[in-house]
Amino acid sequence: MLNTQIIKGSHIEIFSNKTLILEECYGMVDYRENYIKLKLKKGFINLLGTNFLISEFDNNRIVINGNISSLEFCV
Amino acid sequence: MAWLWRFLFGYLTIKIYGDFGELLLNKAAKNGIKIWNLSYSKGVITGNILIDNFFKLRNIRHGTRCKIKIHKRHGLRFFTNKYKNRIGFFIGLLMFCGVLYALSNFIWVINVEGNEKLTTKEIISSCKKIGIYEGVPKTKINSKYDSQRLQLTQAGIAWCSFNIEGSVLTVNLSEIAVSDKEERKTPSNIKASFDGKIKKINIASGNVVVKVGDTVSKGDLLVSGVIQNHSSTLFVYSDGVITAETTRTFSAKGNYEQKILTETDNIIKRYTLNFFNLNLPLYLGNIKQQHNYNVNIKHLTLFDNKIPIKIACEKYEILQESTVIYDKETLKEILYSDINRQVSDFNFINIIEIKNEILETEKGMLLNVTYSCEENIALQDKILLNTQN
Repeated sequence: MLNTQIIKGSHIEIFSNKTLILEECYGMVDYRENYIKLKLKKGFINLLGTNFLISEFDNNRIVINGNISSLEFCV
Repeated sequence: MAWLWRFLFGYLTIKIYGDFGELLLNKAAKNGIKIWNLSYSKGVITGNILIDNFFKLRNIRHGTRCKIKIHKRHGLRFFTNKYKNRIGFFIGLLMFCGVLYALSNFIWVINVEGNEKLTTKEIISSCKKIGIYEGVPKTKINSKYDSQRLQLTQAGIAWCSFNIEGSVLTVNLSEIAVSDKEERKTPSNIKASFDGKIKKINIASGNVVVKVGDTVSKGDLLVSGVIQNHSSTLFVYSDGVITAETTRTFSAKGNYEQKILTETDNIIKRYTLNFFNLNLPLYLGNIKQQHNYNVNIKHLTLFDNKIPIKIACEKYEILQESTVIYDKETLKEILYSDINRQVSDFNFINIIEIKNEILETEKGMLLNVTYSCEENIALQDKILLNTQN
């Protein structure tokens, strides 16, 4: 069990390089064919890849499917 | 279940044009407007949205410098709109539902389970005798009563039940364990098969209601298969031999010139499609020549389940008619052999006297043979149940 009192911030789940689930997403800063930039509580997350499909985006939750080639945190 | 909800209420595939599409998506997410399956291609964002949410999205798009266009419409709502002027379509749909409902009130397939020695064909044939066949209304089936009737109609059944699932009737049964030599027996009475005077009674089972010396007529009850016990009624198979003195006359008539039928190599096959008990002939015309007939029925199946569609292959063996002229002696032999064939159907215990009488007719002769004999007049008669339910 993770102690959420200690680890604060966005909850990110990644399934292989195919699916990314991000909770506590504060918006989409940039959305292009091979690039997505998402805003976190502190900083940003950059995704590079191909065939991106956002299957869900509401209530601070985003689910992205596709071929993710790189994931970068900008804090 | 979300897909069903979306299909029933309808949804749109929209295209968002503009440089700040992500701004609109952020605003939508903040306002609780759900957009799914978003993709980006050549500066255009494509996604799906519910109809109600589409109008909300239009209201919040100001300030984002985006254009929203509907690309495709999905769901039942648009499907029905598309065909709203086609009344025939809706009438057809209603009729389909009506016919489906009406047909679901009938039995279309009969399955038999649990039979080993008895064939499925035998049991289905027995079911038909008691009024249960493909096409019978479900309301006409009284499981408890009909299962008893089936037991009385079809020998060899120890227990049976009828289960209805949709339009499929399953006959579950278990057979009486009998040795190969022992015959399958159904509860029965013994009645007189012919008029006569009783000479001897030899009964293995049943309740005898006549005595030696009695004169009986055809159809009189001789041995009853219903035995009243203290608390219940037993139905038994009445068995035995009742010897009586009888007088039988056999007749055979024939002409010197006779027409006989001989088989030919000409065989005609014809197919009939049976669809929900409705026979649809797959041929034209009918066969006028004299013929022997036999039919082979194949039940179609889908995923190992019988469906109410059958194909019957009818085989007609065409016969040829030819004329033969007999002389007096030959005709007499033919008539005697005919009489012997009739006599062989009876199992006379003792023949007391035989009287022959030959009469000449206009075109041939008539032979009468009278037998005074002793024979077994015991005739099995199945016990029938009758109920108001």
